[in-house]
Amino acid sequence: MSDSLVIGTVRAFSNGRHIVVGRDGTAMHVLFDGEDKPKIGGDVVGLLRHDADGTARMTLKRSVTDAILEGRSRIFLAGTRPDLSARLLAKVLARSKTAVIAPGSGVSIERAPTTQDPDLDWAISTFRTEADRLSVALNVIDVQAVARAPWKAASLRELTLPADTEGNGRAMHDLSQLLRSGFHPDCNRMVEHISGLREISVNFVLPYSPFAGSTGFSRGIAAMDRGHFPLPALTISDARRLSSARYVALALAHSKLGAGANGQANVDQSRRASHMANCFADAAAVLAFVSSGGDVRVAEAYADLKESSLHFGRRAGRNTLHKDVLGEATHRSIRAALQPGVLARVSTARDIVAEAVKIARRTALPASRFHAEEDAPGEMESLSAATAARRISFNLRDASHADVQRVAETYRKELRELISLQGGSELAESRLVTFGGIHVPLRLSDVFDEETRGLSRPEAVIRKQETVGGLLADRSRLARRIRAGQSPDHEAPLEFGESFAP
Amino acid sequence: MEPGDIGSASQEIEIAFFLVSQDFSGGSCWVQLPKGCKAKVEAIGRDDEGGFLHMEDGNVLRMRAPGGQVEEFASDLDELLSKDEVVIQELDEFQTLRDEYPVGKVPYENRIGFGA
Repeated sequence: MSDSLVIGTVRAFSNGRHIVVGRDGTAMHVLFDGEDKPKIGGDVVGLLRHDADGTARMTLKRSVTDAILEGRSRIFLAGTRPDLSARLLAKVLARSKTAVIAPGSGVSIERAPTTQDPDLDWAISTFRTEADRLSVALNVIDVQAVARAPWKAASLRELTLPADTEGNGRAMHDLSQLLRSGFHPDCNRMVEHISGLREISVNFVLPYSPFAGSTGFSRGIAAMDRGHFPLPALTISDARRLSSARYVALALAHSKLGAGANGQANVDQSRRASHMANCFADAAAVLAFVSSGGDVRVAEAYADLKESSLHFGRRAGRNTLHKDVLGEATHRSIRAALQPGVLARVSTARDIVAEAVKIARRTALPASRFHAEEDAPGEMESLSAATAARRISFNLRDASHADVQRVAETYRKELRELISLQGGSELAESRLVTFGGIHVPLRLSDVFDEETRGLSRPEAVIRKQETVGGLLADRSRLARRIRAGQSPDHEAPLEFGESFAP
Repeated sequence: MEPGDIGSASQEIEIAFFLVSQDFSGGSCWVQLPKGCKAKVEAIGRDDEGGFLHMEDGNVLRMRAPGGQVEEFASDLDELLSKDEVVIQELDEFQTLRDEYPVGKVPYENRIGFGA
């Protein structure tokens, strides 16, 4: 039997039961669970359920909204100002508990405490107790549901919850950019100033890209160009777990890295602060991954991928790094988290987060490293990064045909699994063709074409191909575009994130 | 008041959203009442134009479908109105929660031109 929402007044206490009278006059003899007991004469809101013995049991809730948000719910925005409605709803949900958000049918959004996605569910379950304890409402986007759902910019507004209380639509803009760029994972926060106080909350967490696979994930972490193939034997599930845990943990960073016990840290205010948050999140992700039975070698490979970003992430012909590469270089924190002594100390989410804070403060790069206009790795760092890069990558450019074929089989196997994970959804498959295409390693595009040949080709891809074909046919126009350095807006293809090609 | 007669004075509601539980027998509707509105919400209903709140002073506050999606909005409203407990969370012009007004299950035949 499903639970009932009860709104009523406690009229008496008799034989160990409270007598609750509902608004329709119905009297119920109820046993209240939990530490909070009602007072005689008080109004109550609660969830009523009958146990196996037929005893009516009730759990008190602070409000109707609290009761509804405890389970799965659907949210609809109405009124003549849906932007203001969304803003109000954002404020309500900002004070709620962790949940997964997905597009619903019609004009609704679905919000549920759990998800069907096993890797995402693992990450949320791992950090949920700590997030609830810290009163951080993690609104994690169910990326698989979004990948399978039709969406456009207008329908994303409602999904960025709790978001945009700044009133400028920043969260919606950020989310639509992330989705258009192939679902790059992100943790998006807002800073709200209320009567001189600063309050930071999480707009949304986009935990991983459903189109990246383990190859795309590894290449992204290492800032690797298409001419290299990542060697670590990460499964797609490993990649999704590490990414989800990392971004869910990142959502806790502002609550844990403040100066005082209750202070919040604006982790986006400087590159050093952002680096510290990254160190915290990666240490927490690795601790969660290994302590729940994950392969230590996968976590070590994750550290190598991070370190090798200082090699692959260099600007062409210079010893400086692309934007954000240094801030993401968290290999020291990951390796510190993998020390046996540290692993032995963690058993709960609270332990994981506490250890990750200590590790981040101890191992983050000093502020002086972020003062220069362009970041640069030190001499020893460069050498070590180059060694790590050799450990975890295979150079496709200079490899023999036979070696490339061996790598191709690994890639083909992963691609097949990635396609099967799209659940047969035409929309998800067409997005895989679009966004998965940007992760195709050099000399392996034939494999990608063969494996995705049977999938529906999105109109956007066809249009893009026509644009490229047209440009190649008209060389003078191409030359003009190259000289201009940027394409006109009406010809701009989908935005495919940053390129780190050296 | 007769069915079909839902009051003479009618105003649009600017801010509204619904939360409908899929596990429990309840739903809530958050609405911002117009500036200066002192009357309490008496009932919630829907007709062909969308949703409406019937105020105790006889006035009607209307909720329009977002983006002209009238049919989807109508079915969303039906889902809300089919719940045993529908709670109207009234907000004043400063979006401060004014009151929680519970409305019981609204039978289908009372949804069109639902009145006192």
